[in-house]
Amino acid sequence: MLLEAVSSILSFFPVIGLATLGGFLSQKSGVWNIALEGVMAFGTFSGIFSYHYLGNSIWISLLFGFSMGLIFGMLLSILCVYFGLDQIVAGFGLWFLTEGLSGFLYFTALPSVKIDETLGPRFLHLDPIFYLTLILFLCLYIFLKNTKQGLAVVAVGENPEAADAVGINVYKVRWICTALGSAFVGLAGAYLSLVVLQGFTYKMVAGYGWAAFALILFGRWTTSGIFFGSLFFTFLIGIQTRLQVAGIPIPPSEFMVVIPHLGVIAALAIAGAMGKRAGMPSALGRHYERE
Amino acid sequence: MMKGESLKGQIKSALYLIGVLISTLSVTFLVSAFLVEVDFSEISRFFFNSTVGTVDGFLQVLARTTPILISTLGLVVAFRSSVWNIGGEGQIVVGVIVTTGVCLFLGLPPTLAILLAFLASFLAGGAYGALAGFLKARWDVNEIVVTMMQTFIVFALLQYLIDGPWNWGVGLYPRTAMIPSGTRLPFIKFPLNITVIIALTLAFVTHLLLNRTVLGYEMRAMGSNRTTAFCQGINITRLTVLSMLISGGFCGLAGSGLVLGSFFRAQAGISGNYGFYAIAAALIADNKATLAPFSSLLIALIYEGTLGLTALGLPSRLGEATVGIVLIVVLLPKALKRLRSA
Repeated sequence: MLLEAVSSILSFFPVIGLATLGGFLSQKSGVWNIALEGVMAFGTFSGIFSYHYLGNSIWISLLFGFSMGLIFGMLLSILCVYFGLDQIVAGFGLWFLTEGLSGFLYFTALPSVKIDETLGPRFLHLDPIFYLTLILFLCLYIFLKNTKQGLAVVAVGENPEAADAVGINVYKVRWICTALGSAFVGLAGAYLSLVVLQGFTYKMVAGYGWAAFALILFGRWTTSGIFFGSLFFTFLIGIQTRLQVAGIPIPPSEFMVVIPHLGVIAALAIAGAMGKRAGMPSALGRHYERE
Repeated sequence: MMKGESLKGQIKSALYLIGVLISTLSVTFLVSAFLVEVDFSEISRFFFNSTVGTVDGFLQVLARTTPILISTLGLVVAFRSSVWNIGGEGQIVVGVIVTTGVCLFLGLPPTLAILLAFLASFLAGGAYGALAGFLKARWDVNEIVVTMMQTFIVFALLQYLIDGPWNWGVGLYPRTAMIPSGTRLPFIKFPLNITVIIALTLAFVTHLLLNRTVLGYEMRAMGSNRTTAFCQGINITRLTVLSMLISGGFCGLAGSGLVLGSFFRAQAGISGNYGFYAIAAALIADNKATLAPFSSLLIALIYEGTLGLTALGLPSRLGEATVGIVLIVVLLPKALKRLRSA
């Protein structure tokens, strides 16, 4: 009974976890991706789109969402890694584009699709993507700590000049991290529409992308920090929805939805007050121009 | 974007912008024509008629431009100081709530109520923004996240007010009662009201503020390099809070104008995503107050035109997508220029 309750809360974890992980990877290499919300929205759309048009397979649709995220990540890295556009400005552009395109294409090209198959095989009521997310976090932890390539990513985020001096290709590291990170965000969106809510509604991402963005800052740019942060946030959402479903009135109901947002602001302020931006990659947001 | 010191450069940029607009619109129309099975020429005709083709359409576009312009100016102040205020939408709603409250419940003489509403909206929107500025300056809390979260919070507050204590109880969807007729701003020619004059004045004031005052100089210095500005003895904390105060204050004024000049009440969706479109308008204007009226007009044109296309069964989200494409394409030459000079 308890196990079922916990696993049903945890089934939401990949949405938050994958998005946070994706944004984290790109920030670690020194590139802000503030379009998480938009890329995720496009992921939700493209998942359902592919499910309807490219054969009714959840796995292929998840892959499609992943590759759509990859494409928009590449666009972002072309704009700000190679062309040196301000990362925040380019991110705004991408946010508008993805958010608008997903809404527009949804209303024109997408019939209402209802998905009634579930993702299997399941272990403890949880599907493979959940375990994949856990494995990805573990891999990322080992990758950033113990491998040569992982250290190269950290070096590029901290000091691109020094990284370049020891022969690391700063541009290549940054674009791969940005594109791959964005792909995970797209996957998170596709998972949200295909597996969690099993259909598309407009604006279904409902701020989870921004929450993921906040969780990276809250986790102070450490893999374990963002992992436990997203786990905690998943439980917050789970408890909130459970209270709503159970009909436990916490008046006024409009303010129920505000709790996570207030929590994020408070948490960030407290984290900041305790120790100023410790852990933030020093070159985050700074364009690297090779001499 | 529309940089260039010479007149020739400016004309070139303006022509480029118009080219981008026309080609982006053509592409989106072609795609829509294919998807919705409406004639391409039909779409173009509808877009033209609902924007620049008719007097009514053009007045509507100008009316749309007003709130977008006021909030764009607010964002320009913040962006020039490299403070990323993306919560303009929320600050507009703060202005809406405050103005409605002042006009409905204080029972003041009309003129006084209008003046107080504008002042209170500026201060409330400004305080809401300044909170994010304070968190950034004091504890380095990222202002992008905070302003976005603040938007969600104030949206919930508006929903609570129009559902609950301020609900008028008449009509299909929740909204407040109308404000007294004395407090409604006059129209120049319906639907264009006199807030458009306020908006243009503010554009001039913002230009002066940024380019002719010490405060503006310090803001620009901080915007181009925080560390250098700090070493010059500029008080970064004060300046960050102040730029967010002005930024949020302007957005609050935009909300105030929406209530006093267009809707005469508070209702759901009153802010019409203007705060988000203003981000695009500010970036297209290259964060310059003098160019903001033109970029706001451009955005309003797309907004109104695509809204007109809903009559043909096209989704209203077409506007957002078009603005996104225009924004990315407009930013490209800036990037290419950098690449060439590097």
